Formats: sequence, C-alpha cells, structure tokens
Amino acid sequence: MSTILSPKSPKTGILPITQHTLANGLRVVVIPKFTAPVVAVAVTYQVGSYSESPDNTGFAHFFEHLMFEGSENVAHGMFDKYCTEAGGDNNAYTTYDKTTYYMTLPAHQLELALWLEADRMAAFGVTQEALDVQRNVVLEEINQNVENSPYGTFSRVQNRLAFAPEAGYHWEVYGDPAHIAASTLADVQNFFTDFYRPDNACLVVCGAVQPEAALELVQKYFNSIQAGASPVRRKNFQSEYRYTGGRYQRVEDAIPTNTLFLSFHGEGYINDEVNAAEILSSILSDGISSRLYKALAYEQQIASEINCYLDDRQFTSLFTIYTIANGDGITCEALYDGVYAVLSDIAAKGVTPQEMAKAQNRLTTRLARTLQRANGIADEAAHQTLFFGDPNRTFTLMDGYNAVTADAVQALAQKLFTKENEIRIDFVPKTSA
Amino acid sequence: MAHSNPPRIDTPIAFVFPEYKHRTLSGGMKIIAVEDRTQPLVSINLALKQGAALEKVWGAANFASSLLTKGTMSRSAQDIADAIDFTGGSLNASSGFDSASMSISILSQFLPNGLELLADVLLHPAFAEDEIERLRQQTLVEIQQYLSDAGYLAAIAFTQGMFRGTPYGHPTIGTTDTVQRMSRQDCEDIYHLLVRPDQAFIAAAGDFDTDELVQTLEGVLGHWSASTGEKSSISATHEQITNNREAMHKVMLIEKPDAAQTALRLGFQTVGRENEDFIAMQFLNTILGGSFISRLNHNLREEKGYTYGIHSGIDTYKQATIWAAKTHVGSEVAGDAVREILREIDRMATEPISDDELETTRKYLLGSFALRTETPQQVVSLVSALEMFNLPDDYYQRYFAEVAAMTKEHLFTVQQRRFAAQNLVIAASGSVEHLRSQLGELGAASVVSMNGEILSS
Repeated sequence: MSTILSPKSPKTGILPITQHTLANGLRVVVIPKFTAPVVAVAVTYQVGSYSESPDNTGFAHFFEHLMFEGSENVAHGMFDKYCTEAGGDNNAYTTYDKTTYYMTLPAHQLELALWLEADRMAAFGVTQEALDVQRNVVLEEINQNVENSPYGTFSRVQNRLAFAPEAGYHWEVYGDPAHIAASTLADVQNFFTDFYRPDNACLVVCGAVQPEAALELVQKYFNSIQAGASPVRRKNFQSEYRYTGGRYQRVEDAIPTNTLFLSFHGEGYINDEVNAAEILSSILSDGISSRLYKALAYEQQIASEINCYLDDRQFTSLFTIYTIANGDGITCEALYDGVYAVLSDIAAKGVTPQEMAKAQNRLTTRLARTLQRANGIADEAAHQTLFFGDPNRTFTLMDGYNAVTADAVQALAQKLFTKENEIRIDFVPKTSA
Repeated sequence: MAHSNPPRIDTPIAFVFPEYKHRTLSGGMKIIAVEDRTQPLVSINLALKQGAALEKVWGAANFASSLLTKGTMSRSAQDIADAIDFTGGSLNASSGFDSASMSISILSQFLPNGLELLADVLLHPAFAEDEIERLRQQTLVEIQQYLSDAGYLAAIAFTQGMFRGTPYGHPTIGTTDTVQRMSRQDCEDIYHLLVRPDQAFIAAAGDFDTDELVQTLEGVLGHWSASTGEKSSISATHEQITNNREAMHKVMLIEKPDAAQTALRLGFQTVGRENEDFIAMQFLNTILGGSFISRLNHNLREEKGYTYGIHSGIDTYKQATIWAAKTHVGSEVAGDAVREILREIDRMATEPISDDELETTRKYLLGSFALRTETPQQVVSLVSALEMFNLPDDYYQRYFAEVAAMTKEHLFTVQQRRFAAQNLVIAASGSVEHLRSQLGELGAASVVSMNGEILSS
C-alpha cells in the first residue's frame, strides 16, 4: 500500500461567507452552517502579549480573565450564568498577537451571545475585589502550568534567548508573575481603552443562522459602541530583534531524562514562507515514517519521543523541534547530533514527491477536522479577517500548502537550519541537593 | 447602553437526536454509522468490550495494543507507518480498563485502503521481538515522564485509595517492574482475551455512504468469526469492588518534592448508569462541580482564588462508578481547599438545592445537548456508549425527559442517599511532610510510592 498515489487532490468543504464592516470599524463575518442546530460566536481582538510593555508583561492574558468579571449590564458572575442557562459553553485564549473569546450555543440563542459580547466590548465594569481574586487565579494558573509542570519554563527561557525586549516577543504570554501581582485597576482601565474597541476586533458568527437575520442582530447590539479616539498603537517589528549567533541555555528541571529543544528563526505568518514551513515540519515529524522519528526513535533508538512544530506569530516564527532521550545514558549532545544529521540531509538532498504528497494529505486532514465544527470555522475566519483582511482564506488555506514545491521546502531547510540561526535549550534532570 | 436586559429565550427545547444507522455484518458484528458529507473525513472505531481489567500483567493491554500497529504477518512496522502516514490519517490502538479499540481517522478518498490496513493490524499482529524491545524502552521512559507530573501522582494515590486490590487498582500503562518483564506471551494472552468478534462492534462517522461502507467492511472483516474459548469477564463483581476492604484508606499522600502546588483528588464510589439515581447524580454533579459556574469552582476559584480551576465528574467503569473532584491548589492553602470541598459535599448531603440552581441546571443540560451532537464523531460516540454499557436505544431520550421533569424534592432524596456518609478518598501529591501538617485533622494518612505501594500508614 506504500505505493498508492492520490487519485485526486483532496479538498476541504467550502461554505458561503457574508462580511460587513460597521461604522465603528467592527468587522463582521457570518457563515451559515446547517449541519447541527448550534451557533458559534468568536470575537477576536488584535492584542496579545506582543502589545505589552517589557515592565508590564502578562497583562493581555490577565485581562482576558477580567473580561468575564462584569460589564455595564452584566453583573459580576453573571456572564457565565447567562451563557450556561442558554445551554452554551464559552472560553477564551490569548496568544502573542491576539485574544479570542468564543461561545457555542443552541442556534436560537444567538441574540444572547451577541448581547453578552457587545456589553463587554462597550464598557468595562471590573471592581477592585474581582481584580484581586482574578489576580490570584492567574497566579495559580501560572503556578500550575509553568512553575509546577515538567518543562513548564521552556517558553519563558526560549523567548528570552530568542528575542530582544523591544520585540514584544521577549516574554511568554503568561508574563512575569511579579508584574501581574503589581497590576492596578488603572492599568486595567487603560488597557481596555487602548485595545478593546470595535475597530480593533472581528466578530464571526458561524452556525445554523440566516446571514441577514444574524447581521441585523449584530447591528442592533454593536452599532452604538464607540470607535477608538485615535489609531491603535502598534509595535514595529524589525529583524534585528531576533537574537542570532547561536543561542544556548541549560536548564535543570524536575524531569527524568535529558531533553533537547532546538528552535530556528523564520518568518511570521503574514509571510507565505509559513506554508513551506508547515510542510517541512510535517515531513520531519508527523508519524512513525517521518524523517526525525524514523532516524532517532526507530532506527537509532536514542529518542523516546520527537516532535516538531511551527510556533508562528505575526511577524516571526520559531521552527521548534523537541526530543526526549530514550533512557539515562543519552546526552543532549547526542540528541543534537542526531537531529542535525537529519536536518542537514534534507538541506543537502531535499524531499521526495511522496513526502510532499504525504504532508499535503496530513495538512488537509488537519484542516478538515477544524472545519467540521462551527467553533473551529469561527476562530479561523476571525484570524484570517484580522490579519489578512479576508475571511474567504478560511476555506482556501489548502491552496497555499498545495502551491509549495519540493524545491521551496529544500531552500527553506537550507535557510533555517544553520548554527547561526539556532536557539538551543538543554533540559536536564535536576540533581537533588 | 440601551439594551440593559439580556435577550433570554426560555422556549423549551425539543429532544432531537441526529440520524444514525444500524447495520450488521454477515459474521454478526454490529455497525453504527453517522453520515456527514460536509468535510472529506471519516473516522472508524472498532471497539472491543473488554480491556485492561482482564490483564494478569499490569500494562499488558496497553503494551499489546501499541504493538498491533508495529508489524503484521505481511507488513513491517515501517510498511504500516508508510501506508497510513501517506494518507495523512492516523491509525491508533488504545485500551482502557473496560474497553479497547482500533481506530482510524482518514480522508475519505483513502478509506478502502485504510480499512484493509485496520483489519490487517487487528487480525494478524506479529508481536515481533525487536518491536517488543523497542516499545519496552519507550514505555519505561514514558512512565518516568508521567511520574514527573503532579496530577498523575495524585491519580496514583487516589487509585490506590479507591481500588487497591481490585482489577481497577493499577496504572493501565503498568509499572517499571511489570513493563521490564513484559513478554511476547503476555501480549498474546491479553490479545486473545480482548480481540474477539463476539465482543467487537464498529462505530463509523463522516464522509461515506453507509451501504458502500458495509460492503467494504464485509470484504475485510466479514470472515472474522472464529472466536475460540469462552468469553472472559473480570472476576470481581460490583459488590466486591464497592465493599473492597483494602480500599478503606481515606487520606492518601504521595511525595512530589519542591512542588509549588498540591494536586488534589477527592471522591467516592457511587451508583452506575444502570441505577435509577444515575441521571439525578449527573444533574447534582453539574451543580456541585461539573460546570464552570458550579459551587466548587465558584467557591475555590471565584471567591477564594485558591486555584485556576476545579472540576468534578462521574467516571463509569463496568463494575464500579466514582464521583471525583480534581484540582491543583497553592500548597499553603491545601488544607483550606480540602476543607472547603468537604464542606460543599456535606452541604450537598444535607440541604436542598435552590430553585435557581434547579432551573439553571435543567436549562443547561437540555440546551447543551445540541452541542454534544454537533459533529458526526460526537454522535457516534454517544451511540457507542449505549452499545458498550448495554443501555436501551432510547437512553438519551429518557435522559432528556428525566432532566426536563426533575424536581427539587426528588433530587433531595437522591442527595441524602448518595452524598451522605460516603467512604471518601482524599489523595494529594506534594511534600508529604507539608501535607501531613495541612491535612492532619482528617485522620491517619497513608503514604503511597510511585509504584503504588503503601509505604506507611
């Protein structure tokens, strides 16, 4: 069966899109999808940890928590209660470049979701008391996921090694717990005024709704929200913000075996290079037949686990590989040499047509899975609208991957995988005192 | 803002379950199918109704399942990997205590090849010695990785408090000791107990025509009918597990040095799906810890800021059911957090819920049912649960009707019956010395090793 060839280029399904920009600048996208009686609403604000100042980090994520703590007409504790009573689920996440709030409800409850989102976009209503409790919640979140978790400090170490403070990518999304501990109500209010405004956001409705009716409801609740007074403050990214020259750090952690993290600077997702990077990543580590897994885990048996992913941000990315030693005697140096041999081979000899087709099939499968759910579509469409001005890209992402050639993948490997461009972090077991 | 009141819609929601189909292969195997042609994706799950509870060597079911995709009589591990990886799909075997499965998720254009591969790895595994050695080393490292996780350690301690000495009283991945001595024979033994057509069924979801799918399945699995020997089932009965005398340890501690947080698990055994109180228990759990606005999350997160979150749920095994809460809290408030959880359990046992809690929960459970059936994979997994637990076809309809008709009075009788005087197990990972001082007044604590042995009481 290893010789089967793709009978046709696989395609993900496409849905119609309606888009409209309100007078206050809010971009609105409606995507009807009638496979199930549910609707998803996503509101994405173009603000993330990248927007923070170096002495006030972790704020975008902290703020995300506060958006559930009350607004003009939604008292403290009521946001989740209203949503729950409607049979809905909701949550939010913060990245380097954006903060997304999403809700999925039975389709006939769309109006409630829009009312809830509009109220917290219009006016912020957090009290000192709610701020104090959420500060503890966020500090415990960091405790759980960073301080008390194996490899939890990786992202913190990686960003410090990889970027200059001016970049805004010098710190991880969680930020510095000391900064969060010191945050005040005034900081919070300023952050809201600066970034939580309709002209810095995109609203997507996807589900069992008629576009005209949905758009009418959106206008009913969002039209009256004021646009920001001045343009949104944006940072300028410059390539010098990437620290190069070969960066290295050794970290002792409560882990059982040596683990190597290797990252390489690349372009951000606003650049088409990421399409080739996704293909390269898939060829290197998707499945047991992938280059890295086959060489290090299967044949040499020096790795028990090996994986590769593209940590892509708006202006830059870190092509990251991590591998866990397959037992006590294997050093990070041995893992490093093993990984480099594979990377150098791809840079020197390129990839096969079979590998290209395989990666494209893998990426199609991944996309199809995302597009099965209203929530997945809404999230992707908000992203495409904010950063590319085009929600239609949600359903044509595969074209970008299919346009990548084997030569482009090899050229990228040659560009990325150099010692000058690498950030290496060795995680080693803590030697107990 | 002009719109100061929420636009609430209180129209009662009607029960709607998405369409699904039942078929049977000529050998007798059942098929549950949910068609959805919107994306070119298919998931097929061949489910087996027994799992690790039957194993004599801890970790054998997990080990043998992992080996299934590592070589057959006619394909090497790399042949299988090349074939499935090329399609962009995944082919995975997995096992739990009471079930095991072989599943494939694949672009629909590759489905026939995928099914042929699935049948081959399921029916003709090689259990080759070199693959056994490769997997042994990887599993040993994996166990060490698990043991560095605070939540996993708390789960080990909890399992020992709850199920020690029963078929559910060990980690499904096994221990360093059992994995070190796992043999080819151990793998074959558990394979023959689990992989039998008379305890298998197929759940399919996605982009296919059911009749065509049945034809293809007939071609690759229709002849599979030769189960030999009697079916096995786990030796312990529900009563034996529930009344297990070894599981009378109440406070279970496990050492995790330098931990910034305490991982906590608290729970008790309760009634299963077949019991008439079960749906009421699900209702009550939603109020206590099953949703974001639950009493426990409100108390420990929103009021006290002790934790990023706490959640409780009902875990159903074939011969046991447990209610359990899980959380991570700051080490310095571990004692306070446990006391608050106990207080909430006690309140559940002694006070009726409020009208508001009744209505909010009713609306949530009825309304959110649509969210649980959004994708074909979700639908097929709900239908599979009926087959797995021998529940009637109208189970979800009954669930819906019972939730719609639920009263405070009825719930209060269930609360008194099911939350009062339970044999609670309280498990925590962290510095044992610190935890003893935090939890001292709860009674003598047993300390558990990473291998699940009781070190001291």
